[in-house]
Amino acid sequence: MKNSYSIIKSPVITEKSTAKTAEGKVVFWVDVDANKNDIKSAVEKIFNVKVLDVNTNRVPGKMKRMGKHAGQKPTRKKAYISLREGDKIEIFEGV
Amino acid sequence: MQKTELKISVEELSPVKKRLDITVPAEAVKRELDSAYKSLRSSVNIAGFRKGAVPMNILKARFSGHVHEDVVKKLIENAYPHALSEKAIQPVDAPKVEIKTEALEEGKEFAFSAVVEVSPALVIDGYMGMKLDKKAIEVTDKDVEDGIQKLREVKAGFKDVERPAKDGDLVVVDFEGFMGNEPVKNTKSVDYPVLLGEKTLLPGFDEALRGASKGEDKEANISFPDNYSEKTLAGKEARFKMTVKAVKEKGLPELTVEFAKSVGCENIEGLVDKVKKELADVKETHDKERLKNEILDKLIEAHPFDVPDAMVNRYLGVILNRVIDGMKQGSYNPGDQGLSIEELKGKYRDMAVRQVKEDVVLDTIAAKEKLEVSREETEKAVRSIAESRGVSFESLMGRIEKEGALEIIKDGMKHEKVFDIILGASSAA
Repeated sequence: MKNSYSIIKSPVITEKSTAKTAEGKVVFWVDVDANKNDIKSAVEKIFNVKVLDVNTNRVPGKMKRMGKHAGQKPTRKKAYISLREGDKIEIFEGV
Repeated sequence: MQKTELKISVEELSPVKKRLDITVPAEAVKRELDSAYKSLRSSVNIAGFRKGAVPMNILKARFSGHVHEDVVKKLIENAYPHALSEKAIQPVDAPKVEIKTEALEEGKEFAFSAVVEVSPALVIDGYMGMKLDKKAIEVTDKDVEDGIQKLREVKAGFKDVERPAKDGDLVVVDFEGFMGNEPVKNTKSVDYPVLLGEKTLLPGFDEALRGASKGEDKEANISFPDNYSEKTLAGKEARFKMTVKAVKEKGLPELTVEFAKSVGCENIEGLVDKVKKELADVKETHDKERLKNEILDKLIEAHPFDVPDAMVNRYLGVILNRVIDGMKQGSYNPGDQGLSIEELKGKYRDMAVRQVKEDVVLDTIAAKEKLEVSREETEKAVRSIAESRGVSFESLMGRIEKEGALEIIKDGMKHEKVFDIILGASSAA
């Protein structure tokens, strides 16, 4: 299994993700090859919290064009993580 | 912000310096912070959020430093005038503000101090019934005679004479300069009036023309001075050919009824009266100036007080500007030449202190006597200035208001009123 720190890439900070905080959920960008079990153990290890559930979805990379050059943005994976009530991850409290 | 919210204490550092310690309560700080964040939220763009939908905690995390700076500024701007009006302090200059709260925090109060300079609190008395060295104004017959003589000289006319010209005569002349046989450019003049003896032309002209009569031709070798404005001619000699067209003698008008009429009087007696009255006016103005100085001398001597540095510096600035402007226009005050700004400051500092003292004394008396200058009075004064300068009242008033000079005019009139009551209540020593 991969290193925990390479599975979790960065927090997703958007209106939707901050709204989820109220439901006790946090959202991360994660490695596209990581499965839910990997994500669960990585979050528990890094942030010292109890993860109840993990939902993931892939965000397909978009075609980007700069004149005649076409390019592909990488596909990414987002993970919605439900935390045990009362647990918190500091980075979402104020970024 | 209501002023009752503020906690203010005043400490006197010197008679003209005060320190205000102002504490803004926590609620007011919070209110300011909230409103600052709210206005920030509606304008800021952060990726991932629509405009205006950024959560507070993210705003606070990202912009606290910036917002706090603004809020501190705003708190001081709001609290300072309130504190001044509550403690009835009228500063003469911008305050030196020192922030005492290290970091602005929500839920904590904010404290700062401001050091201001104020006009000295003066109690002036003894200005009523002053004994002054009043002098009777008298115009002697000799003064009148001199006055009329001056008037005649101003009105002097010239009349043609058939005799050789001498100093004081006006000679009308055509001339042109030649070098070899070539005429020199720009030296030809026709009907040029020369007042002999005034040396208005190149040196040598006056000498050549002296003794010439009407219709006479003259020639003279005249050299251009080394610093002549036309570089190619400087230092060279040219032969000038001149033709005298007329010789005129300066004649003073006779003291006749016609002369009196030409200056707007009925007859000679009227002229004498007019001159007498004008001289008396001038003398009276002079004497009033002298008395004013005497009053100020006495009052300042009787009431020693400190003056705020800020005021002295402001007055000093005005004086220096005038001195430097004068230098630029070439009218040197003997002794100012070659002095540095610092030296000038030292030289004129006493004058500035004196002016500050004069103004403080006069303002204090004006306040005590409740002297006010109404809008109508200033307008009347401006109108008379406009008339004497030959400009329209509206344009002058507009310019005065734009330059903020109205207050200065008002102050001047207020000071005049102060002098009037002092002079009215004084007696001769």
